[in-house]
Amino acid sequence: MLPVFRKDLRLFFRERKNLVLSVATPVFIMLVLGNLALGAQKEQYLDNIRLGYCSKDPSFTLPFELDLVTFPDECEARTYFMVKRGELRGALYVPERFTEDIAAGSGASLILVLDNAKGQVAFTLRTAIESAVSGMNEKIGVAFIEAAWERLSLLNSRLKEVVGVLALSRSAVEDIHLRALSLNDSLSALDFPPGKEALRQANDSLAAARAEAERMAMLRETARNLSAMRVLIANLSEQGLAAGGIPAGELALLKEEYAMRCGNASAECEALNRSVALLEEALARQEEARARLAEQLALLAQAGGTDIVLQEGIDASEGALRNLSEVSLSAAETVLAEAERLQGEVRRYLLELDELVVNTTGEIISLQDELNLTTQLLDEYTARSPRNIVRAVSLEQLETFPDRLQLEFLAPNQMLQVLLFLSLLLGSMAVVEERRSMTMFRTLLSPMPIARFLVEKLLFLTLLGTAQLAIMLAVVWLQGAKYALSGETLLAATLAAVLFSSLGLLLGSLARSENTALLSVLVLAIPMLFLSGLLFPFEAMSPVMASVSRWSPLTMSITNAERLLIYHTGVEPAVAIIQLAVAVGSSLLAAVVLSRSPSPD
Amino acid sequence: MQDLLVVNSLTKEFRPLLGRPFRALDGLSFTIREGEVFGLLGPNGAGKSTLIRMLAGYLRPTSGSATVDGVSITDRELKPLVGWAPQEDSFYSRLTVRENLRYFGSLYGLPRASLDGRAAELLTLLGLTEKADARAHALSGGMKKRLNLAIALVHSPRIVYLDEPTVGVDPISRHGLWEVIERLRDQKVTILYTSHYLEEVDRLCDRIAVIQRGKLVTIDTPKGLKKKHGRTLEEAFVALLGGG
Repeated sequence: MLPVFRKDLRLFFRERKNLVLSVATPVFIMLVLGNLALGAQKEQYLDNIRLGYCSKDPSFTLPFELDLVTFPDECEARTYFMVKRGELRGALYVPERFTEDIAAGSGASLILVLDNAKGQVAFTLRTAIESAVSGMNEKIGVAFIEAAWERLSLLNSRLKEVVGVLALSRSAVEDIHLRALSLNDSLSALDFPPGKEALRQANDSLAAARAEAERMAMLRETARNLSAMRVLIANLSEQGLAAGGIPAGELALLKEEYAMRCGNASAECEALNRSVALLEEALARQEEARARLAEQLALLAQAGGTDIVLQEGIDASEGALRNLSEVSLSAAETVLAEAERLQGEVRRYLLELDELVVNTTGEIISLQDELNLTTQLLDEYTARSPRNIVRAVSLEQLETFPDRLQLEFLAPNQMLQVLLFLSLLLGSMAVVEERRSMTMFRTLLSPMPIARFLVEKLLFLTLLGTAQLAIMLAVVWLQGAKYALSGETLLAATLAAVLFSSLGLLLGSLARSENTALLSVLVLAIPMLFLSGLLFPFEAMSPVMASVSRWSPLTMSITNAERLLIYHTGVEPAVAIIQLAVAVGSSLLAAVVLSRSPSPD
Repeated sequence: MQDLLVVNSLTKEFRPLLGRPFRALDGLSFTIREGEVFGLLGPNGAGKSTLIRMLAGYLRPTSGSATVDGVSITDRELKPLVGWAPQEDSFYSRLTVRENLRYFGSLYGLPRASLDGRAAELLTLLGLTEKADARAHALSGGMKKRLNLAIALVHSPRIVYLDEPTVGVDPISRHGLWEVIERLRDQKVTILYTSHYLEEVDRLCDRIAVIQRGKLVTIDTPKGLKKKHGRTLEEAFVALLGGG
């Protein structure tokens, strides 16, 4: 069952190197990558970035902590030069009067020079500085707003107090209004009942008193005339009775006769009529006099006869007058008391109203002061440009290589990565093939020393690698990466090729089969790939991994290439020496291994 | 004829890092005369390959000594004196026959002119002239064996070690190879010959050494062996080694 599977499994386990590499490769690579990731803390990343700093404003303090490269003299030019040479990843310039300009609200700019050849680092640095600038702006904006806020808050609290006072005033005014209404009611009550009624009653009493006084005078006059009248009436009565007068029965008889005779109109009748009329008129006057006399007699009979009745009437009138005076005084006193009470109440109300008005006015004056202060501040603040409040600090960014293609920055790394894989594979496979076909053994039996064998092989692989680099350069040149090439470029290419090829030879000498060689290449190349700085910036690595990566063969070669093709600073001698040393060491090691086991078994 | 190869109490012990020490050769002593075709027989694991590798100067003996024409097998001067044709096809398959000969000849420091002459000579000797400019991977199995042998001879060594040179080829090709070896023998080329084909050993070798477990069992001519141990060499071989 599953014979192929079982066979492959058996073969896999019997090829010890493959087994070890199959297990070790992922472990090793993941350890390397894991260490890379462990070092990828943001703070450490930033700390590792070499940033030049040049401040011409002594009062300015950076709002963040970075490992900065500073120079006491000509810092601007020196830091820029170092960025241009790839020795710094960026530089931050603070102009003169920076802090003052910010404080004055006129805004100021920081200048950030970035090595855009290192895209990831530049991006990180740009982001960090932008974030810092944003933080500064926020701080400045917040300080500004806090000051305004403080004033507004104070104003608000004052307004709240005023609102409270106004509410109290309103309440008080409402109360006053109610009290005024009450006072008005009281006044209304004072005008009519009981005041007005009392006055009316007093008036009536006075009128009654006057009438009573008139009546009393009339009674006195009546009493005076009574005696004379009594005499007169007695005389008159005596005269009337003596004259006899016109008997009433005669008139009736005369009327009947008139009625019988004067049914028709005649002169006799007319004279009769006139006589009758005159007679009737005389009778009426007689009756009227009689009635008047009777009345006088009745009055006389009623009033007198005695003076006691008149005296009683006079006394009654005087008592009535006294009562009437007392009632009038009492009513007036009541009115006056009520008026006094109302006056006191109105005075108190007026005092309260005055106090309220004074207090409210004080609040309004205080509020006015606050508003004046706030207005002054707002005048000051609004005099600033809103942009300088929101973005007091701006960031000007300069790139050291603004006109270059991104390809130009990436190509050195990419080319050398390709060369690494090619050289490792070609070198290792060449050795494995020599060993597998026994030609290696045959060669070793010849007088040719193994060292010479390897040197010649290395020479070939180096030339091949150099040619491959030349081809890759030509390709990227066609794509637009116009590098300035020189003899040093050839030297760097040769160094890279010899280094990678020697590593390939070493891997081939250690491997017994193509599979092992391939796995070995992966074990060596993949970590170098990740440590090369292309996928993962050095600055983001832990210190240990950063050191390892800087001295990895691929990184050394990339460093040289970038110095030549991007920064134009030439091959670094120390790096070149180490490259050569690693190449020689690898070749020697390969020679030792091959001399000990030139055949596959 | 004088002795060209002298082996004296040669012992080789392997001491692996893990496992027990293993003695591949144990006090082996024999000589090979100049111009002689010397057969080395033994079962698998007897130590034949180890012996040849030591005699080629690749492995250092644990004890004992061996010389080729008076030169110790541990000296660098030994290298031009010996030629070796491994059992496998050991050449560059993408080079032509002539290019292979030139290359391996150059390893011995031969100048280009003499290399060309020697190559032509060997091509003729081994019947490869027609295939001189063919790529090695295009050769037949027999031709590849001939090229393998030619490379061992390109620098005109004093002694040639042929490690099972006919293994894996068809009978016709094998016979052709025998003829080549016989021509070499006629030219007085000293040959140390190993093979499991006793028929060809019987036919080609002047003397035969039989070893087992690193020790020499016997040395004799094929006739002597057959006379002492059986009617055929195979019977003698079985008689000598069959008991274990």
